[in-house]
Amino acid sequence: MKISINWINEFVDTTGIDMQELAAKLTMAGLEVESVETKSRLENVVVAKVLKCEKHPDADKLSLCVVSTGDAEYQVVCGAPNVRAGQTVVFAKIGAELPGGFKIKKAKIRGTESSGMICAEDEIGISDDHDGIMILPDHLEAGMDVNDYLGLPDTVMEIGITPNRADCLSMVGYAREIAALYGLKLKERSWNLAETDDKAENYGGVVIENKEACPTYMGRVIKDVKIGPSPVWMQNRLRAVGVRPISNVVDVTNYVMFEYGQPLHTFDLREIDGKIIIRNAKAGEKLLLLDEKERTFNEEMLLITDEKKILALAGVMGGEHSGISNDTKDVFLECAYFEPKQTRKTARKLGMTSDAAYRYERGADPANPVKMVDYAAYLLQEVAGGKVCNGKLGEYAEPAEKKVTVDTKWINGYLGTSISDEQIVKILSDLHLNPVVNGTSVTVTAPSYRVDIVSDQDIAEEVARMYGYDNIPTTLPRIDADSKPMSRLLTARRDIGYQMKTMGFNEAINYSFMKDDFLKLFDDEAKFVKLLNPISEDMNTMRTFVFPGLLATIKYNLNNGFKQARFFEFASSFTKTDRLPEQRMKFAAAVAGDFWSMSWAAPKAIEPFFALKGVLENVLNAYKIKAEYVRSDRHFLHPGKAAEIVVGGRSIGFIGDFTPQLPTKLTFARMSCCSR
Amino acid sequence: MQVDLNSIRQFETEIAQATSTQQLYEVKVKYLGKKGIISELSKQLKDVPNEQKKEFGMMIGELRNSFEAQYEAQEKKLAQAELSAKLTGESLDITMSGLPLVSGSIHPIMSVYYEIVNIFTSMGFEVAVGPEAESDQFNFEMLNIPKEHPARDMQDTFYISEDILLRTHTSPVQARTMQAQEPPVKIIAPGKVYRCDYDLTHTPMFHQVEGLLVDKGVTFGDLKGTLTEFIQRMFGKDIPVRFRPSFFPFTEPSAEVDMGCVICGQKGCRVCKGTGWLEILGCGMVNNEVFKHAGYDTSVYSGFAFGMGIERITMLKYGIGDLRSFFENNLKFLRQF
Repeated sequence: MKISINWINEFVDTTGIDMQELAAKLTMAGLEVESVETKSRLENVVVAKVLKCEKHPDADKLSLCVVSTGDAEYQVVCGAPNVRAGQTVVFAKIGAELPGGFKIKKAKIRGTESSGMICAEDEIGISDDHDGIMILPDHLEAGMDVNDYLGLPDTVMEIGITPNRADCLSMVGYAREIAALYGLKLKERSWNLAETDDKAENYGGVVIENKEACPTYMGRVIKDVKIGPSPVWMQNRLRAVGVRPISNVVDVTNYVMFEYGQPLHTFDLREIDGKIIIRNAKAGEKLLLLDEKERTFNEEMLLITDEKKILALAGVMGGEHSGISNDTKDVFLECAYFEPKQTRKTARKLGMTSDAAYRYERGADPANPVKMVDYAAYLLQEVAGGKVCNGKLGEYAEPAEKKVTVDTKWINGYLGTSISDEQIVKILSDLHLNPVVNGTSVTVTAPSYRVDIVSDQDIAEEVARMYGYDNIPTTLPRIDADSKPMSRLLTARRDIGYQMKTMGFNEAINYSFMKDDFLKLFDDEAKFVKLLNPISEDMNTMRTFVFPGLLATIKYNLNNGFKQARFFEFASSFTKTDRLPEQRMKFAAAVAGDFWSMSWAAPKAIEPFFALKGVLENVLNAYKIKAEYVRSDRHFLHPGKAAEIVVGGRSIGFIGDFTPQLPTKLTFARMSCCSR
Repeated sequence: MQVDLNSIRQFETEIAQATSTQQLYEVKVKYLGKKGIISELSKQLKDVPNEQKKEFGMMIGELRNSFEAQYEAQEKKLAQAELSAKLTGESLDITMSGLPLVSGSIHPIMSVYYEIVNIFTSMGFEVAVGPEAESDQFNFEMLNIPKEHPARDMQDTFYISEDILLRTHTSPVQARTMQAQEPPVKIIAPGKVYRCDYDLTHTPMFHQVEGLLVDKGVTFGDLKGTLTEFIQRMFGKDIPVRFRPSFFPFTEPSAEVDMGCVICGQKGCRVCKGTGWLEILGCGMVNNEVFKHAGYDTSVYSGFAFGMGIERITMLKYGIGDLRSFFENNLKFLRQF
């Protein structure tokens, strides 16, 4: 996910910290920074008004504009389809250097002079949007510096987050980590919620039927919101972390989710009949969701409903019908904790993902909804002019305290370190794990957001990552000298490989799956092991033989202009049984074209059967195996040029030419194959 | 008895003037043959008066010895010359090509596979293998990845039935080994693995090597030491190695291991995305949940596990850019190895 340092600065002061160093520290603490994007201050970029906008005399898709920066007017050629006279825009003057090193110079475009550029969002580096120029609110004055307005400068980092760190799916999460890494103080956010006398309970209530899947569900009613764009500071922050601003109400829920990791949902209050009920779905119930797809639910899935109908799929996505629209006035705000397994099962079964599900699946903070429902209501009051009704609806289940006791001697023994008890306690304390010391025994109480901390090993990990993996001494283990050698099968596989190489064969590795139709030419379909979810129909069946892959390999090489080929391969074959498929290592070798390379010194041409038989006997002799050759009646072999390889009275494979009756695209001139 | 010694000593000239071993042999017959000049003298010895016999006999002996010595020397010289002449006549055009016994090749993935196996077996690890079509139980459950665990998202699985799948990693061999034996365990498990992913940087089948060491007193430091040793033996003893915290459900703490970029020497390039570091393997201390599944006493034993992709190591080792070239089996590609 993306983080914005400007946003994080609300919670921890990073002034003076080098961003590259911060990125390295986060990475070495287990939060892998994949990229650092510096959004610099824009110089010579100001607010401007479009005074005139006409079609370019010599180009259909270009406009010729005159813009004013208050003190001066400029003639500009603009290619954006949405430029109009009267707009307030972002204007890069001559001399400006835009992100990506693009310098604005005086230019002639289709014969007309252009002195500057009207910018799109991507051109000034605030988003990837290049649909048209960015249009600013009209109250901004021409000539004004745009940096403060656009939230620049800022640093945005893209972080690859591991599934255990659900606590770091928010700005606050990163602020906590940064504070612990640098020994800085965390700042608390406070807000002033002005509740009206109007009681929320007048507008409904909450009934939780499945408290295991949804222990906490908080709601608030906010009346008289005015739907419109959210304030620019909120838009800037959302844009910085890659979220497209939509409207004030929707933006508030996204804002709180990205700031605190708490998913929220808003319903249009007029669409709710009676109380909110959180219950399991009945098989076959359906709802059109916000992604405009209708989904059918089963009994394991959790729904948000009212007394008459379904409103939303809990923790995953809201319903289309009950969502916020442009004329929404009153809002029901949902702020809940849904159990990870429950959310995950549902999302998986339906093949859905959403920012909310992503957080619930990994484990949201179960203590968060109580505060967050107020914070979001406060923001709706501030940015959408809503009136917050008195009181919270719903139930809150206080999460159980999680205590883990660990011995510092054990930690050092496990890591191979000698970290002092004081340092261990300081690390745990910096991470807000509330260590209580008793001799060498330390008991921590993990905050509710640290869903990953459950065992002594988790504590060892916290100590190790804050102490620094790099600082842990490197040692070599003692390994008992009674190690067993590699098995005969693996040794033979390796040795025969080198023997085949010496005899001029190239080792191939083919995929273990192939098309069933192809494999059917050689083997009985009843034995096939098929994949339920193959990549494509060409790879839907596990091979029962290894040699068909070599046929394909040879065909590929002959098509690529090679006149002869000698291949071998070792691989598992798979045959259907009631339980795990029977899997046996098989060996195959194949020759196509003349056995000897073209050379004046080549011995006279030899029947490929005998060439390959010589190779086979060379291999068998190395293991003192005496084989007899009995005519083979396999249907895909040439009846006169094929034999079963019989050892100790049992066939261990075959050697021979393929019958020319195989579909023509598979027959090669003089091809022999031996397989077991 | 009168003997014309001068005339007999003519043999010296005749020997010296012989130009072939055949001619030389004729000289021998002339002097030492049954009726040869010197042989005839010997026959006359019986007619020589007694008082002269000794002197006459010595003279014949001296002639014979002298002949033999000169003959031998000349014969050696002529034989040598004749042999040289014969061999020179047999000269071949040594620049022409030989019998076309063209060498084949070991697949680069298998070369690297054997190299990895050699390094770890030399440290005392044993090689274990397991089935590629595997049960959900061994591939996930016993490795602390229950159904609905988000870590299952990290691996797109091919299914054969609800409970049987193509192993997504070589880790089930760990679980099988621990189920079958008591500690100490010291194995590596190389082999094919499968994930439902096919694009520029993913193939649906690839190769991994898994490692597991379980014993009394195994530490995170030992894990660092073992893998640093491995990487430096594989890529060179001066390659920097770093361990970075990460997450795997079957280890705790877990780490990603990076090595200094071997393509640019840590200056920053396209392959290392400008960071100077290349992610090379994942590892960690075995999670106690995994030990519990195996029935191992976590108060007595600890251990580490690691896993790496052979394709990635092969690409870095040989500077191969396209992952998919490994499974095309194009001779132009394979013959380079």
